[in-house]
Amino acid sequence: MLPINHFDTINKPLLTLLLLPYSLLKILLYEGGINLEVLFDLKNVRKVYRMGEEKIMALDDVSLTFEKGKIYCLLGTSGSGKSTLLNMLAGLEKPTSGTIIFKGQPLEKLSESQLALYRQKYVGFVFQSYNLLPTLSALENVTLPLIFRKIPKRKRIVAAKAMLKAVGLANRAKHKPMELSGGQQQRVSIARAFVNQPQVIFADEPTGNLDTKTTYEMMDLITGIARERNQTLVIVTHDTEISVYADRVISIRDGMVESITDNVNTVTDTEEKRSDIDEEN
Amino acid sequence: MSILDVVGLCVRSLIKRKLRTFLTLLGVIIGTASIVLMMSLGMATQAQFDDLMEGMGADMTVISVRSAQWGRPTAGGGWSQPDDFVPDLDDAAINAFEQLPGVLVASPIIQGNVFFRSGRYVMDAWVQGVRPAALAQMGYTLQHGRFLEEGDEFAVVFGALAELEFYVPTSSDMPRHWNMWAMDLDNIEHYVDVINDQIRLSYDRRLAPWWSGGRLFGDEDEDYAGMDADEFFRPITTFDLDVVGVLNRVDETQPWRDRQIYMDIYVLQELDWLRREAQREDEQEWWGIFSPIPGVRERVTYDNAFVRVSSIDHTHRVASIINEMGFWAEFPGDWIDVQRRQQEGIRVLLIAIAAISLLVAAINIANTMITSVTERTKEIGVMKVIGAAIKDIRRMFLLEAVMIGILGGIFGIGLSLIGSYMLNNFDIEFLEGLRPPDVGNMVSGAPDAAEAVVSLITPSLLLLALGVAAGVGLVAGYFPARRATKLSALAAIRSD
Repeated sequence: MLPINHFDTINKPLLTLLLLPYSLLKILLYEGGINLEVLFDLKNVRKVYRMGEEKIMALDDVSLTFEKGKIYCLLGTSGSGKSTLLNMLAGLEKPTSGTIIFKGQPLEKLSESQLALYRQKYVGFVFQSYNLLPTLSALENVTLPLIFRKIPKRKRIVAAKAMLKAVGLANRAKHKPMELSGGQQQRVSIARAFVNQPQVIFADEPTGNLDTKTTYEMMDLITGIARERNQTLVIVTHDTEISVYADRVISIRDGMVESITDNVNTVTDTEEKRSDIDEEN
Repeated sequence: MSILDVVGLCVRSLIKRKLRTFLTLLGVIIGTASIVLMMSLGMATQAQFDDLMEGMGADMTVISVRSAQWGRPTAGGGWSQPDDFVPDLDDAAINAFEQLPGVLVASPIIQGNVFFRSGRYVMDAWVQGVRPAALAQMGYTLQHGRFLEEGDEFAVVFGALAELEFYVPTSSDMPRHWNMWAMDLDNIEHYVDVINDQIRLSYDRRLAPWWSGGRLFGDEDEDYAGMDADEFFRPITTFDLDVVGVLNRVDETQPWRDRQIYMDIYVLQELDWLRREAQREDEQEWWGIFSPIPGVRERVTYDNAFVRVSSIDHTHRVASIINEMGFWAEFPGDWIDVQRRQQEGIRVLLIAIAAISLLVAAINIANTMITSVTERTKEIGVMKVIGAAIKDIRRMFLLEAVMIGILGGIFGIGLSLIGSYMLNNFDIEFLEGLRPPDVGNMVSGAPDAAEAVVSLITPSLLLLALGVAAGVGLVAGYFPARRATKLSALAAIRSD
């Protein structure tokens, strides 16, 4: 069920061997307090919205790091500032003060077109309301990020088909979003987020519109793919049930980081989760 | 994002909104078709006028200029009052004409009466004096020799039929050109070989034939009041004439042009002055009359000048400038030109109305595109979030508008071709006013106006129409596309 990486034609063991010196260096540096695995580094990020005369502090002095290959959950009630944080990581908003460093590059200093490139290359996005383009079929929706990246037609169709297959919708490729159920639409949306081989996937309340059963399916799917490919996944949710899927849960309250908890026993075994659902039902 | 993908996305979104696309297209189709049809009417009329001019053999690049000292003819067939100040048609004025943009050459034309004699043949010739450089621009081609050159003295260029005016003065035969129309002009018996035979020239009035009050050639021994002719008259001065060129036949509709003889205007002026001087001396000697000394020779005014423009497009403009300068300028077929201009006015009006329909179509496209942008705000936001560059978004909406323009243009062209066919093959009475005047029986060789087409569509017109339609789409799509690019991705996603 998990996807075959179609871009990855490099011999894995050979690659590991070649990168061995780098891996050793990384470990050494990490022990010395320098983490090369850091993807995002937020320093004193503050975001203030102006509503007329009133100022609303959406984020207040947030400092966080996001590491490669981990699954994060931004947990908070609505209005806590978690979505604002996500938007800033995705380059959709700029902080009022502070800096967001992505691989050594301050995101807030990028121009609009550089941000577009950043999103093309490094970011996948899963929305609460799927946000598929209604005029395009499932397959075409999945190819869209590749179209923006100017991937040749044949290549991108192969990749998109593989991705659809990975999310279990191989037989629905030609269907328009209107002809798919909510869960299927979200699967297409997930396929679209992952097709680009992004380093980080943002999921904004990905299960907000889904029933419980589909929610767990979707979470299994999204975390499964992310783990398989060693991609960073940032899930924004208000649902504590979902937070169990994450390696690290960052609770946000009133624009401030309330707590950071590492889940030791994250749910990785889909069968186990399934049985839980069955019990509930 | 490659252009092909943009096209694909555009086609989809156009198909998705079939009815709206169709209605917008309809506007462009009607706009394009009406522009093409209106222009085709104009092009047909233009083509017919061109045929007409060609049939008349009129060279519309030649403007003849006269002094307006007695006014000018008016459009109603009358004659206008002379202006308060009438400028002299002198060398300065002609040099000024030559400076006008579009003018190839300008030259005064004078006529001078001189006498030629070759053996037993004589000619009482009216010679045209022009600036040497101008002769080559008068629409002639050479049969022999060359045109006039600067520095030629007693050199002339003969028209193709000028030789016909040689005659034998002592015989009772009339000069042959008097009944020229009865002759077979293609097979003329040559009396004088103008290139090779020796021809003598004289300005002297006494060499004129008897009917113009002069003395005939070959009558030197005639008794004048008991005196010998050589005693009675001063010795006659003659010069050796050099015929440097013979022109080709011009056009059977303008036979007079073939009998012209051209000479350097300054030589002819000199001869004229010599003639008047001789006449004055005669009068003084024989009658004791002291004629006033002829006017200051440096300031000569002319009755006539001709201006040649480089193309027919300049004719009207140059002629009206010369008229404004205070002269009387006219060109062959200017009455046709007046009509053409009147019809052009009507056509411009029709094209303007058609252009309004195209403008409405453009507004329609803009409206559709703005609706489309508003409707797809969320889509635009999503596309931005999943990696669409601003350029991609702009292209998408611009191309959609351009595609409406191009599609509308193509269908509009099709519609206009059908319309054009119908106009040409069915009698439509109110369009009769757009036909050029029927001059079939007035001018030989003019095409029969009734047979001519009403609407003429050329490939270049179609290409132009397509370009205009695409351009309309581009312009109309610009602001909606800009609006789409300016949308904040975040706000767009949140909107419903």
